[in-house]
Amino acid sequence: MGKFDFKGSAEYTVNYMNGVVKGMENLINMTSDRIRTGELEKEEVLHIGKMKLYHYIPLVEESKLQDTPMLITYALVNKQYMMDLQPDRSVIKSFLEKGIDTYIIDWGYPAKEDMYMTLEDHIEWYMDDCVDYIIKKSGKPQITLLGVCQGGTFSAIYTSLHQDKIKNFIAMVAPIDFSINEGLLFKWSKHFNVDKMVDAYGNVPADLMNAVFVLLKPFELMIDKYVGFGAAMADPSYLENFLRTENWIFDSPDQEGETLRQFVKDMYEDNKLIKGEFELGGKEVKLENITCPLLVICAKYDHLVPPVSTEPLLDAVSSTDKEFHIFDVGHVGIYISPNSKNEIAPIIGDWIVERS
Amino acid sequence: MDFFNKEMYEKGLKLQKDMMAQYMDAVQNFSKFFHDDSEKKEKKDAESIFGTMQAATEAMLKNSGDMTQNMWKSYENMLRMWLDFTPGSDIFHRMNPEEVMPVMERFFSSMSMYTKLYDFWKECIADASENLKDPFGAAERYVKKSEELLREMSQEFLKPIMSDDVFSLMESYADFGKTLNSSLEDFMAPWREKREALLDCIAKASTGDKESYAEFVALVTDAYQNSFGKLFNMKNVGMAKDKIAINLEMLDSYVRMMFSYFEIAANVQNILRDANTELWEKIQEMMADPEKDLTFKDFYDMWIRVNSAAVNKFYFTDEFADFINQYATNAYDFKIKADRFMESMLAGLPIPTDSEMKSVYKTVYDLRKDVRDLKKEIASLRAELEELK
Repeated sequence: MGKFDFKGSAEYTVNYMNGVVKGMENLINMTSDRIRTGELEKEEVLHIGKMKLYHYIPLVEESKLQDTPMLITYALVNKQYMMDLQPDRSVIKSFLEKGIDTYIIDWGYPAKEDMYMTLEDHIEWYMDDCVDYIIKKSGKPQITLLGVCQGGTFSAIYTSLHQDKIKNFIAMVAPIDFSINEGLLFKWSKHFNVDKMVDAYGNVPADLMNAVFVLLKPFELMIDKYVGFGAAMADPSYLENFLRTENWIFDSPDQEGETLRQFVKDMYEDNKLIKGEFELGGKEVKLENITCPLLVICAKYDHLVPPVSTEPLLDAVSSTDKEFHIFDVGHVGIYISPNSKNEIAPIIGDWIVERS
Repeated sequence: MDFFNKEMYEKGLKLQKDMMAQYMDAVQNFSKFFHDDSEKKEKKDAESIFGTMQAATEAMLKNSGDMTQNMWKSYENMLRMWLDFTPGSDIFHRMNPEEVMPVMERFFSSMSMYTKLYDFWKECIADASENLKDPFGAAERYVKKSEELLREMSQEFLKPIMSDDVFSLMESYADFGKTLNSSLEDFMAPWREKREALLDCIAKASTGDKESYAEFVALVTDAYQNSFGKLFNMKNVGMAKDKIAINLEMLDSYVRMMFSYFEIAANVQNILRDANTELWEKIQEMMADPEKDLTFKDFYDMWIRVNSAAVNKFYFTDEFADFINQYATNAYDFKIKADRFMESMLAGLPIPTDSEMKSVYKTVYDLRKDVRDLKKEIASLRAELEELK
């Protein structure tokens, strides 16, 4: 008969608490600059409403800059600086080192006065103004568009409508086919009364969104994650990375009500984009209008946007130059895991450089 | 450094020293149990050693639990003091509390759950060790304790991710439910008619029938709709009838929200009860292996895996999607009606209401779009003009 190992349990606990105390010491000695995010130097070049367009200061000489500038469009949920969350794993730094002239959209923190903003406003107003600005500033006729998560959906819609302005399109963990049942957000959204939610709140509070994301995996995200944190916080670099990531995860803007309503109804409920039935501002959006080179990036363990939601983009477009990569990471890991700078970002960077 | 800075700095240092001393005390107590006088220890019988080890672990965990709680509070207080007394000092500028405090709050909340889980594990294995001849009884008690633990944890889960007002609303469900239940029995006929069935459900639940709580919720919901629900929805008379009607609508939506929450809770509880019964069986199997020693860490890893898998499986069912949608819809409905009630109460005061502000937001939004369109038109006309020139 086996036995309950009290001694082993107690030793484990003492070691654990030792780590916590050491971790607390680290925390006392922690300074804000050590957990600062978005360290790369950038300048604000355009500001409309709450939206800001940033231009990263190149890390190579002007003569070594690639011909085609790139715009990164992130989701409305969470903030775009996760692409430059920590210096040693910055995806953007990797792009800059390859001479890619990089711009990024910061959607800002919507307030109540933004509750009537629509998908059309984000894509045909803000995004289009950003693209026009970059084209004018660079003197190039086209740009590379990199869309991340929901920003990938926006970018697919934008490219369908403005293929003439887009030279290359990259979709990273972007939901395209919403008919799937693999991810809980996809599953629940089909039963979801978004009208009531938006009518109740106007802008949907970030706290509510965070609660939903955490409750997708309550045991892992409410207990196990922090138990793991306690076990590892004695390591200063782990502590720094954890604090950066944690602050980013909970740095969530409220969601503009009308935009969310339209996105849930047209995408999650009716799956209009992949079916070719989506209209934006009276214009038909057809993914088959996309003819430029396409790179699709997925995360194998993505529980928010499973790869099966993104992969159909490859068949829906008319592009002949198409490439697909899937990595052994989760939704967030694709930007902040040790692989992000060493493996994932170089693959994207090389793909862009070859087509710049 | 001025007087206040120095004083606060010294207080902070003392606090850190105290924290460390508290921890060292816990560790030394623990070491005494294990490492002092190994010869004597060998002479003790196995039962006594186990008891001693268990007591040491408990003492240490209790100390460490207190320590982390105190450390958290003291730490926060310390930073707050620095914030109040030493703006601009080097000490304050080392860290922005906003970057650390919310993370640590979530960490300490998880530690509190972790400690509860340890207590649960400790009680269950003590029970199993003492009642070797009654494994079924031990299993039954394990499942019951497991339910209590999960109920407590479900409260802890929500604390760090919900704003205080939303969380207190959630907490008040339980109190509201108790008040409601206590008055139901004599209030209206539907409750009297269902009394036997309700009691039957409670009796079944006490013997471990996992379906009975869901049945209980369904019966209560039905009785409510035929009693309080009708009362809350009835037309009112008198000068304040409109306001009363709005108030009752709000109450009705609140109760509906509460019931749908109970329905989810009852179903999740059933799922987790099954999962924990299986977990107990797995533990029994593992203990049958003479080579295997089971630590708390082993138990914790299994507990997380099994409960997580059970919840995940349930989440992916249409049934759960319907439950969560029903709850969310009722919650939003309650908010809409509560806002409407609040606006009706504020109507006589010179305060702009939410509806009025929404109208202003819409006007501003439309104007912004008009400005944007006009700017584009001007730019286009300017371009045309340039071409003509």
